[in-house]
Amino acid sequence: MGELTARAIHFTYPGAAGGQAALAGVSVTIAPGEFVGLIGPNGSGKTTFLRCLTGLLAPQGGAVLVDGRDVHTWGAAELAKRLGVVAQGEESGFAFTVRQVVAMGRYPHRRRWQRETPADREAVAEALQSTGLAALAERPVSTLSGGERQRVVLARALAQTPRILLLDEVTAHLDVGYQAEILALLQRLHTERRLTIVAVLHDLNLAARCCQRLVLLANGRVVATGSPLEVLTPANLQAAYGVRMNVNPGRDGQPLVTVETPAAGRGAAPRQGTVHLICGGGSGTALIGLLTSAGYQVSCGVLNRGDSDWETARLYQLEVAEEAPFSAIEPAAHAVNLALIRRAAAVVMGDVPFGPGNLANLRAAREALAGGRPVFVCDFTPIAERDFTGGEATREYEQLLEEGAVRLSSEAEVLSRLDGALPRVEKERPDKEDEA
Amino acid sequence: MSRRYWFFAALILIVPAVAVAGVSVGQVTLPPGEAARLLWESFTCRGPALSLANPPLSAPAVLIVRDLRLPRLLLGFLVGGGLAVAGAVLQALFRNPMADPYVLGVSAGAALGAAAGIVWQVPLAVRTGLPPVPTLAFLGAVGATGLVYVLARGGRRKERGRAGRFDQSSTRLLLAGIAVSALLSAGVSLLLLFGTRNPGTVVVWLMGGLAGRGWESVRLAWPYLAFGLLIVGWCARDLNLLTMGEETAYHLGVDPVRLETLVVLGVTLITASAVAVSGLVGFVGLIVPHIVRYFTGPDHRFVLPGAFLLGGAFLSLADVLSRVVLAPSELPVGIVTALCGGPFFLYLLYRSGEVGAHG
Repeated sequence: MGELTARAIHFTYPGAAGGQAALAGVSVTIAPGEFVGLIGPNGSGKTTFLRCLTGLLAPQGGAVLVDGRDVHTWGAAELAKRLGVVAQGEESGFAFTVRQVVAMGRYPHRRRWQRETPADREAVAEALQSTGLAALAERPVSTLSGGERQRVVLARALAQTPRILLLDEVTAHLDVGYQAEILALLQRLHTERRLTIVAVLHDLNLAARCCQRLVLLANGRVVATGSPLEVLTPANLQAAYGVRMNVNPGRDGQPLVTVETPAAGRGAAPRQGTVHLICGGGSGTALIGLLTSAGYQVSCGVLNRGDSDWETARLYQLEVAEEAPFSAIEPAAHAVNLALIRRAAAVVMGDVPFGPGNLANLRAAREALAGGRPVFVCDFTPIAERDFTGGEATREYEQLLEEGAVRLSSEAEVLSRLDGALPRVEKERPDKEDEA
Repeated sequence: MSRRYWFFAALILIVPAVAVAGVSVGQVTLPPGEAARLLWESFTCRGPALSLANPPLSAPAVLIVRDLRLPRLLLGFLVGGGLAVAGAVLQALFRNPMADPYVLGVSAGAALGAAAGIVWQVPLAVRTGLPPVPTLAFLGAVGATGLVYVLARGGRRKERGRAGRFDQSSTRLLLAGIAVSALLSAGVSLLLLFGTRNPGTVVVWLMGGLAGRGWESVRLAWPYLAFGLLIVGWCARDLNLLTMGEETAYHLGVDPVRLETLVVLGVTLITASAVAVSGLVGFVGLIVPHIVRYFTGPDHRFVLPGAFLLGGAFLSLADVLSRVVLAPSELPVGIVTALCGGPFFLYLLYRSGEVGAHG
């Protein structure tokens, strides 16, 4: 119960210009109890796809199966017991109260002349309770705010006690507080009642935070599907939305997407050359975001696979010299690192804690200096506090500074010092606005 | 809640009072007590009132009640109740407070049928024994709505398959109704202009009235009317969901296409039979549902019975007034309903913001 399968859905709206298909072979299998987000730009087909899943639209090709049976062969009431739908912008001029509207969710469970059973009353009361509408139950729906009305529609779908909940942009037009509230409610329903939830979401960051799996649609096709970390990569987003986006790991470990707009700062223009970042243990995460958004090409090394900096580098699809998880740097990885450094115009070293395993990275920085590359060292935490080698790292570090590495004492300094070393590519930047 | 109970309690008093008035008032006025007794006896089928064998009343009074007032009262109640129910149902179907029983082309079709019957004196009566004008009006009404339904539904189905089935289908019904009505009204005008030297008869019929209608009309109308009422009553609960929109109704387990087909069938039977026997009585079907919703709330399980009782009482009362105001001549009842209903509704509109918002 609660399984939803879409097989090679083809759908074209009648009269669409040039017979342009809204959905061109979309296949998605949603397991019982899964929380799946449908994302994609406007016109990508995500709402059309959702409407195919509900059976409102009949695709010209492919099939939608609800609990293994074609959605169109279910009787309307039988389907309504399994599938609850929350659409956006529902409007009724009739003065039903909140309770009356929510009680309509019991329709598929009741025979025509049957009176309300205790099960009906309980389902309605629970739906009102969990959506926080109990206090508003006797108010006419027409007197409620937009966010409250959206919750009424959700409560009515819950009163249906379905196994599957389909939601179409339920957070659109709601302020941030209501968005968070509704998504928290959905997550609770998902964990407590093991509901299968499929939600069309506009906000990528909300989608990343509440969905186990994302399906990214563009032009009626699935661009990517998988965990938020796998789907929300700059490359996928560029392919789907046609816009460069920055993806940083948020505090909760989920990707945080921001759109790069030309106004986002001087840094957006591409820079000459690559900056190689020596980091690890989380010291590089902020630097990767900072350097990338400033327009630098960034490479990293040496990082252990699974390290948080390594995750970030992978999100940004950077070139990385990598080593096996929790292992000391072997000569092979060190060689890759040196090769990356030779290709870079400058080297930045993060505020890295050093142990015997990654001492090689400190030596790589010295070799960079020897090879004529400017080296910038983030010295935010005194080296003594991050030396876990018994003094060896401190010695190497001081030699590095003696040999001419530039010491940086804050993140703000990183860009300003690099700026002097690596000039921007001026001609690629339309600067009309600045001149005006 | 309590407003609803008071409303139905009041109706239980109003309906018999109107019935007594309908039996007692006219060119020959009967004392209300006698009228009530005659009514009671005929409704409990004890017979004497209808058997001419009741000493206290003169025979002519019994004849008047039996042959004139009783059928007219009954017809007024059926027509008024039917139109109010039809209006309530169509307002829900179209989610539009302006909808009345005639939006699906019933009025124009019936008018064309009746006009044809009057103008050409169709020899239907000779062949089948059916009265020509009501029969043709009924056929015209059903035919017009059938045409509206086919036009709104048919063309689309081939093109879209199931995909288009909820997409604006009630809007298409409404538009087809307007177009077909305009077309058939043009036909009526042509008939009036060129078909007859005496258009007055047709015009009076169009105004709507119950004058001179007897048991014949009741017998003609009630089976279809009752069947139509049964159909829409059966759908009362589903109509509540339809007021949320066709797609929402579908998500909640209603098959909107089947429901709309049933409802259109029921409303057509009700309206066509009402129009066939009483012409175009306006305002009842538009206003009574709004007044009822004001008291009962929007739930159709209460709106429909309320509309039937209030609509019936309202039209019967209007009929009594139409007999009284210009006695000894009679006003067409359609004029009375408009004259009484309009101001009352405007008063409600003025007093309460709830009226008109379907509430």
